[in-house]
Amino acid sequence: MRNGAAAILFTLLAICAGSAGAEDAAPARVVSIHLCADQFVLALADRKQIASVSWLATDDRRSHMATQAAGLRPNNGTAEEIVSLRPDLVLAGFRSARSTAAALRALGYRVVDLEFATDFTVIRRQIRELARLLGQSARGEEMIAEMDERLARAAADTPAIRPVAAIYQPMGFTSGRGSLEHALMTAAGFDNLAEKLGMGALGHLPLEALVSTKPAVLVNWMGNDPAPSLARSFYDHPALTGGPWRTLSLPNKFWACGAWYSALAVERLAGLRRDLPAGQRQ
Amino acid sequence: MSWLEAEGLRVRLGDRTVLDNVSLSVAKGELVGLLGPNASGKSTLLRTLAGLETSEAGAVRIDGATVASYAPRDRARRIAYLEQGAASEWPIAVARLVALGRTPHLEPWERAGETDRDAIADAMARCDVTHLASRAATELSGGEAARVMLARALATGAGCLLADEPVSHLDPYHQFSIMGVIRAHADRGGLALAALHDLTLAARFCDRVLLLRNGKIAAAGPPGEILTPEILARVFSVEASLVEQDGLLQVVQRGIVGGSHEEETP
Amino acid sequence: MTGRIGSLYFGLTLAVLALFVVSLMTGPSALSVEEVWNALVAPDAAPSAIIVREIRLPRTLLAILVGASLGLAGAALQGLLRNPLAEPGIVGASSAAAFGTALVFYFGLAGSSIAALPAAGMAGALLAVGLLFALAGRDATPLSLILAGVAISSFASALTALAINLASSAYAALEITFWLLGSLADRSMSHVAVAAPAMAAGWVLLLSGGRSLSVLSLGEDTAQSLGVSLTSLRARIVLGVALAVGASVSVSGAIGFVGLIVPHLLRPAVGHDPGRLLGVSLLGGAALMLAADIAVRLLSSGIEIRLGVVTALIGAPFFLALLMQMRRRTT
Repeated sequence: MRNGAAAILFTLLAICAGSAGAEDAAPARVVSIHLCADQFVLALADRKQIASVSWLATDDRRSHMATQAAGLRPNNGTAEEIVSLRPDLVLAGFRSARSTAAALRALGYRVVDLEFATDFTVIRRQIRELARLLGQSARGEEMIAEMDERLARAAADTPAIRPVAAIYQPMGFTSGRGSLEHALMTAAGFDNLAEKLGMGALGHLPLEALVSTKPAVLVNWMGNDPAPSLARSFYDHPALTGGPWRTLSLPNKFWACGAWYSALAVERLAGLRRDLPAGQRQ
Repeated sequence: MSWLEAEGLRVRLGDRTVLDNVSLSVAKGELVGLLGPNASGKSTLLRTLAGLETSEAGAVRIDGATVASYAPRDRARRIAYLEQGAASEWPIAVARLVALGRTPHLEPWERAGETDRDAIADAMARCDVTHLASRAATELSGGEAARVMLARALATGAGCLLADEPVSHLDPYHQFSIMGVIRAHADRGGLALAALHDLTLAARFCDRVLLLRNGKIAAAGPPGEILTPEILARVFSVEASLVEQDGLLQVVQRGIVGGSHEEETP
Repeated sequence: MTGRIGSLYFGLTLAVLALFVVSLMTGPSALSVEEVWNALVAPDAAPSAIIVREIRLPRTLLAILVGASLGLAGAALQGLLRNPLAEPGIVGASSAAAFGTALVFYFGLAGSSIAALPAAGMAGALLAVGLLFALAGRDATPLSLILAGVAISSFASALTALAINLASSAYAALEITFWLLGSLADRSMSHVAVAAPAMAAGWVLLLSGGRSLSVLSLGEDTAQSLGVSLTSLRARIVLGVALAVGASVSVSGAIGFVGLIVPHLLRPAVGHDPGRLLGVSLLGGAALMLAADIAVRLLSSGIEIRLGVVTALIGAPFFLALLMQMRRRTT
């Protein structure tokens, strides 16, 4: 009798647990209208779940999953297009048109917004949330585990006095505390010059100040944009090329979205840190 | 040999023949009046003589050589051209404006020397504009401006003066004083050819007159011989005659001649 | 008269020298006069030396070269067109030069030839002035001149924006304000080296036309009768403007109104003589540009205001005042 009651109770509990907040039924037609959401969708979802990704997904300058996006139907993020795709989940994000998202919600579609990830805590949370939405929680956990492993390796031999690095964008823009770049640099074992100078997420560092403060490493995002531009020729300035710092040009995609592959950028930064001559590692 | 000569000039502007077989010669010491109805080709003739228009046929000769054969500056030292309604674009000082007349004598980097300064002062004195030396060229009355422009032309020191209607729109005082300066220029050994509308002025000041009609020379000779009622009627379609009063020549106009007054439209 | 012009040259040269020093002393890093002096005469590897020689000096030299070119070109155009409203910006030469340079730059048409960019700027400027003559004619009224200039300028700016939008680089679209409004920020000595020869050639051509421009104020016929070759003069001015303005715009973007303000302010001091205006406009333009660039650095905190914004803030009201003055005189 006790076994039967326990079995019924257990079953009731299981039914309750099963119907309340556990894994949702996996969506069958996911549409992403945002570059960063594209990355997660392409990495976590089954291919047959994906109805469409944004037109930027195949741009290998900005999209890490560009090759995987090939063959999928691209969209321009307009409400009309999305409606004709009959999605059961729409992923939008920061910089998506507010009006499009609002229109879709009004029509009864399920629209989830992705915020811009500025550190690894947020990235982990996003991976978990999106994996859950896509019905792929297991894959999500794998992704996080791999990412954390990379990060741990990168930070392993961080010295007590960390070398100083600075983001240096055309026109002298730099990124301080609260920016994704800051998270990447600190995860790789650097101190961020912009933070030391008290700047917020977006700051301005004149060339003259750079020459005076002399960080060990300069980082920019010109890595995969070889086409001529004033931005590119900015880095040919003698004051920049003649300085005592090392320059690392990372591909633009690491700046466009904070995601699990941001750990790859951290790895490269850490590698550069280890390469610095002894005197500069202060 | 006359200092200024033209033979068989033929000038076309667009598809219109403005000058047709025009020949003339002017000797040193002569003031020749160029007369004719509107659009008869007077301005074009003066411009062609000055080298600003090219003639399809014939040639203009000055001081023995064709005008075309001179380098622009050498030509400018021999021929001074006073254009109709000459004016200055900018309010430069009168003295500076007259000084520009010395340009043909100076290299581009050269400054005005003593000869130049003397020529400028002399020209300004002859035209009675010395007192206007520091006034702005755009703030002159019509008569003052005409005298200043004439001074500029005389400052070049050129023997030949070609003046296109130098006294039209001016008051009687300025008409006489300017014609007097041009006359004096001829008397001193220069020569002048002036396009005029006022027949009396032409009669009074000119040694000879040339009448142009429809681009051709209709008559040429001393005023007394040429300004006859028949010729005046034929060329100007007016009833007029030359009279002498107190020893001075005057053209008295009675009216216009009936019938068609064929005028070339410009 | 010569004495007065002499002291004008002296005063302007003094102004340029003084502003040169101030410009070298201006910047986000506080440097002492001694540090600046040492950087110029006995440079070492100290940051102050790098800052002065690689950052402030090229900027200062460019301000002088570009300002001088624009001032001189403005004076020359006003003399040739006999119109006080003419200047490289208004007639569209600057915008066209910007288009030529941007086109060659963003589409990599230059290869690695460093002279290609100023050459492209010159080609653009030459086209614009040629087009201006075709549209407005030689005896252009102020109105037809401005209209033709506006047409050319708008078209060239639109083409510049189009070219930039079609460019391969993702950064290109953000850079349009450089081409349309101009800047001397973060320029290097290589920019000075590449533009200076063409500018100098342009200056020689323009200054050589001084006497003829004075004579031209009496009208084309009278000028010709005094021995001036109009075709030669026009060619010299058009080519000189193309060289000076084209090379300037290729390194600094399109900066307007300098060629309008400087000749207008200095004209009374040279007795309104268009020929005498040339040399002083060269110096005056250099002084004005130095002053404007110093102001840009003092007024900006963080992102620098574009130089063309400062010159337009002064120049546009100036232009309107000039227009009203001209209207009052003709009515």
